[in-house]
Amino acid sequence: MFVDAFLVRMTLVPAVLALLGRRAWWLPRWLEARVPQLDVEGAGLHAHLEHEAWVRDHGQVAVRADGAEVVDRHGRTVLPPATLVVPTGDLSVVALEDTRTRAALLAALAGRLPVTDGVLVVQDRILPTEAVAVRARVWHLPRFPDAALLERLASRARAGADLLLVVDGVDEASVAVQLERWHRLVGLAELGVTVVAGASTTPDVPHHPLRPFAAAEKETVS
Amino acid sequence: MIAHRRTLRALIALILLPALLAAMALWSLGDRGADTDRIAAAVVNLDEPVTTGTGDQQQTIAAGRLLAAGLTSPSKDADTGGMRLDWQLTDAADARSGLDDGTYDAVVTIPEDFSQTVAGLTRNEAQQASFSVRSAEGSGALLGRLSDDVSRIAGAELGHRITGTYLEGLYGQTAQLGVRLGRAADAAGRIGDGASTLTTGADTLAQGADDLGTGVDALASGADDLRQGSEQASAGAGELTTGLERLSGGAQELASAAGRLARGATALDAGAGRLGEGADTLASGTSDLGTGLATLDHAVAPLPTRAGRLADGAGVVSQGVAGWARVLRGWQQACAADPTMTRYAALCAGTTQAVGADGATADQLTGGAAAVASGARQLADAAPALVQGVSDAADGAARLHAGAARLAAGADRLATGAGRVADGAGQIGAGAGRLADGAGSASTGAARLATGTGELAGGAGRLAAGATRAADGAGSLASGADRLSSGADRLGSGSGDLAEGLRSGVEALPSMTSAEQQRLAGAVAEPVAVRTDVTEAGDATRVGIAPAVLALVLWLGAALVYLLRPALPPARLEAPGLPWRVALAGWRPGLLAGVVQAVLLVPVLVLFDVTLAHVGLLVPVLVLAGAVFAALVQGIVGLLGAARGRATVLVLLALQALLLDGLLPIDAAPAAVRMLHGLLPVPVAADLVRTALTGRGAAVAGLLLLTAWGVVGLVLATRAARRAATVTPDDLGAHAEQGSEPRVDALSGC
Repeated sequence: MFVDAFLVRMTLVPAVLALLGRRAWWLPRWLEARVPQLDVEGAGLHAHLEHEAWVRDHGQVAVRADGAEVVDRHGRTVLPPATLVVPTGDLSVVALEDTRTRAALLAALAGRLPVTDGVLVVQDRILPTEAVAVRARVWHLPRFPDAALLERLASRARAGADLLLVVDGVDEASVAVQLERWHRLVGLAELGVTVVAGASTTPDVPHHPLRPFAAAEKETVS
Repeated sequence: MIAHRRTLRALIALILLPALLAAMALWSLGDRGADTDRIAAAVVNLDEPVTTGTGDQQQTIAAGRLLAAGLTSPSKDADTGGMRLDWQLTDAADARSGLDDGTYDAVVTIPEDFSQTVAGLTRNEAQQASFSVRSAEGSGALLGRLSDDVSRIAGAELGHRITGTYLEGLYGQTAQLGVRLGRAADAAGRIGDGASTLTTGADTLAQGADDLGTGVDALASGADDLRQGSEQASAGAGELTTGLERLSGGAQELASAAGRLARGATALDAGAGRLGEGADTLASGTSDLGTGLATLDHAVAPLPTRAGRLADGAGVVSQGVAGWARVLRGWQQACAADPTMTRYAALCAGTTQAVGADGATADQLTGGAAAVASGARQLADAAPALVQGVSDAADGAARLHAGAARLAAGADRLATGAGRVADGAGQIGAGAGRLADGAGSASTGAARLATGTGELAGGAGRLAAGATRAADGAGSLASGADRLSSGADRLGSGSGDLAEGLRSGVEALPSMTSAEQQRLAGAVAEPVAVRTDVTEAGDATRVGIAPAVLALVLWLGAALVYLLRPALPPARLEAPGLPWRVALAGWRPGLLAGVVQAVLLVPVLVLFDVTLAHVGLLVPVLVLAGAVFAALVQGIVGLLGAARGRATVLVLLALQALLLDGLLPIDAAPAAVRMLHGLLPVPVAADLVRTALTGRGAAVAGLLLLTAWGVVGLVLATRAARRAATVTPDDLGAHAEQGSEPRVDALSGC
């Protein structure tokens, strides 16, 4: 009894844990991917509180990223740290030549690509822990959709639905088609839909430009 | 447009394909028979018939001949489906040589004691009859077929024969049993009658016992009343004794008092006589007094008047005396004062002597005269009252006289009454003496009466107790008689039922002639063969393989659906939504196609004359199997990806086909195969279809298991949907290289 309580539990086990440090909590990668994300110490709550504080200071936004980055299992950067704020009910455009990074950013914003570090909050939900909830609410269109789907979205927006649409490849078409597509997206944004569009170049329609890597660029400049 | 038409054609082919495959399989596999009658076999019958039974129920059993005839007879081919050897009846030598030279492939020898052994069955001395079988090549298959044939024919023929013989004996015995049961029924009827009489008697007895109980109760209460009454009488007699004793004392006192009364009355009589005499004397005295008083009254009458006149005269005298006195005084004064008068000295001396020296004699003279006058006056005044008083006294003397007279008369009557009282008192005294004597004797009698009534009370009490016990006894008797009555009643009804039952038993027992008995025995011995005819009719092979074929084509149909359609619709993956909804959306086309495919299989079965025992079970089973297979294939393809998933589905198809219970029974397979057969969805569905086709076996466990597989499929599909909704960095690489082509796997093949 005494040995168990005082020697093993109060001395030996803490000592071993202290020696091991974070390695005590190591899991094989395949198992790590499968066990649920336990939030024993309330990290999720901390993230929520932090976001609430940010919202008090800056107001409600659709998407907020602060150094959100994605690194694959080989340690290669898929998405460099991105910092951006997407306002609600507006057309925001990510103009990037690099289609892979652009696709990664848009997939991360739609909850489809789990971020490995940094802050990413979509409609007040913290990623990657609440990815299922984000996926259940956010449209993620890697290619520009046909007119019927856009019309369905417009009618739902008119019915009062709070929509967040992430669409990529707007300018992968002829110039005339590109312009029509941009006008359609502007129309959706005017109906209250929050649209995050990915393109190679900045369009000629009124929009909110997103510059996710502006800080990094500045650093490199300086 | 063209794409649409192609899709439509693919869809129709998809839906029709399972039904066409099933039809093909049933047609090609159903009509294969074996020409087993080309195999020749010999039968050698060495058996000797035996006779069994007694009297008119004797039976001859020739079991060997029956068996040989059954084997060689072509008429029996119908019930064995034509799968028979070519049997020849021959003798032992021919059989041996035929076996040697190849004429026969096998020889069956029926031993000599075969009938004897078989007959033992009808005498409850069961023993197994045996044959000897010899085969030229010793091939297991041939020997098996031989044994099959021989035992089947032996079962059919000998079983019939032996059962028939047994039943004939049984029916004969049954007739005798009927007669005996009839007699028993009559006896039971008579018992019933007797019991009914007993019931009546017992009822009467119970009634009488009841009456007796009531009477004895009344007796007990009467005896009790008597006891109380005699106790009260005893107490009353005691009190009567006391009263009579007191009466005797009182009568004695009365007698002595009456004596004293008589003496008093005699004294009263004497006193009353003396009183009468006194009263007489008083009456005469008062009469004299009355007379005297009347004379006095008469004499007194003028007194007042005279007294008045006397008073008047006394008044005048008084006045004259007074005047004279005054003259003398004047003379005396004149003599004293005038000396001249001395001449007259004697006169003067006489005057002074008359008047007194100083006048006193004169005053006395005047006063006396005045007193005489006033006395006279008073006399005059009192005289009338005196007269009145004398008159009153005279009246009173008269009344006194009358009263004295009446007193004398009363005293006389008193004397007479007192005499009579004295006489009566004497008589009372004598009577009271006699009364005292009588009361004494009465007291003695009353005491004896009290004793007697006390004893009566005791006796009445004992009588009451006895009567109560008698009443209890009568009650017990009554209840006993009641129970006797109901028991007798039950006995009566029971024996009536027994008689009735025995009679109905007798009626129910068949009473048949021996010809009828034989016919019936034959009919009873037959039914097994008849039933075999029914169930083995139609296409046994098709019934055997149809379940496996149906289950396999349904799995194949599900696999085809997800060859043409993506497991998870890409549009649903782009749209927001929960994974299980995406999975259900992917399942929907498979579900619809599976249901239609399942329903289309039913006409195929009808086309090939496969008997459907439970159409109501078959259609739900097929539909469920189609839906479950669709869910499973969708889950596998969705989770493993298009290529790996479809390969897995095909491997599973082959694996499950091996496990099916079709032409060869699964029960003979190794344990692991049997376990997989009972677990994997296609064999489970096949068994369910078999249950629905033949009506044999239970379906609940299979239905539950199949539903569980469907749930597993949907869970897999949900997991797949959840995974497909996310993008991996590798996807992004492929993505970037292929332009903007996302999630290739789920879309290919369209």
